[in-house]
Amino acid sequence: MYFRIDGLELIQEPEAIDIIPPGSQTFTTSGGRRIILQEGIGSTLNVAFGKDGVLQELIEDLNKKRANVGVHLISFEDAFCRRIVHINGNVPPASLISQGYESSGRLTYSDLTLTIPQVELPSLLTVLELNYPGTLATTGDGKVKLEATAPGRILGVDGFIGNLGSGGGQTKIQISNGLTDYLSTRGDFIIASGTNLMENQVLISSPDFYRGDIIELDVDEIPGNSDSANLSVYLWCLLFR
Amino acid sequence: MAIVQYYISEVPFRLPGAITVADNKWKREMQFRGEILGYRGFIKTLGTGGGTSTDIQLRNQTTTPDKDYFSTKPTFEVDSASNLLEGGELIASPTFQAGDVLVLDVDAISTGPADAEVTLLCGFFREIVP
Repeated sequence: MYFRIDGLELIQEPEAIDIIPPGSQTFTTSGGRRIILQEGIGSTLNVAFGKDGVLQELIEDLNKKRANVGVHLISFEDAFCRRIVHINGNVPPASLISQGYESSGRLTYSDLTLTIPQVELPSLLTVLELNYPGTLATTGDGKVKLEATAPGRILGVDGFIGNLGSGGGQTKIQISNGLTDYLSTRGDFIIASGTNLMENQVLISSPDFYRGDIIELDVDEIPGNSDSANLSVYLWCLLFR
Repeated sequence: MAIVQYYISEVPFRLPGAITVADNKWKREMQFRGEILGYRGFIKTLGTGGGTSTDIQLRNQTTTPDKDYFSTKPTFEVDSASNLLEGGELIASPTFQAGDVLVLDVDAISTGPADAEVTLLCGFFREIVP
């Protein structure tokens, strides 16, 4: 049975995975309407190992993969829709229930059921787009702006330009919040490379922003013929609640 | 040992201006490994021509050979007049690695289509070293 923690296989496969949907409470309004409130955000997995005993090493393997961190990627095969499903789950420490000896003399443990509730992460991965449609005829700061609606951190940056332009030089950009430049090495759209992708960009060590910050796309250089066009820069951000 | 967390997010692609048949119309560099869960699209100008459509393919140009993600291409259909990306089917394992470049190809057009967006819904695996 397919089951992975952080993409890693355990030394013993589970024998059953039960998906317990979140509970709900039903209320009736004075007008006779029913209101159903769902409890929690996700399902709970009951992952059962070893009807005939759990390998001693499984306990160690589980706790090693848990690494004293509760929330992990849990991947399993949903028997109903026959596909691999990924969730974030809170993995409890594995502890033995009872132990004894097999006929061979090997130490073994009773079966083990891990109860893994699905959790909602306190952060949201989102891709913010700074899009400049049309021709970049001039350089300048703040060509495109957006207001951060939550505090966050930039994890990565990519970009694409529809038209690289012509002449000497290239389109070179910076990302800032007006005070902090987020790229220690600015992003280039190099005519000679012909990929139309942003290249060379390096993020600073703590590219953080706060709610209300205005994040700007600065165009610091353009090609000699001032004809590069249709630029998008994408910020891969974690937003925090 | 790195732990992994799973995030779902959208990845937009653009087809600005007049749309022509060509590969590499828009590109994105994936910052994490992940999988494509779904897609949607909107075209501002459908173009004309009964029975014609603007057909989209999404391709991973980093893999060898390139990997097409649609086993059946989704289309902007002139006849339906919805202006939405319709139909299409993803391959069985539409996955990518961090650093892979995904490109949008236009394989067929109606007469005079313009200004479209295609957005992927992706699951991303983010590795964290505690």
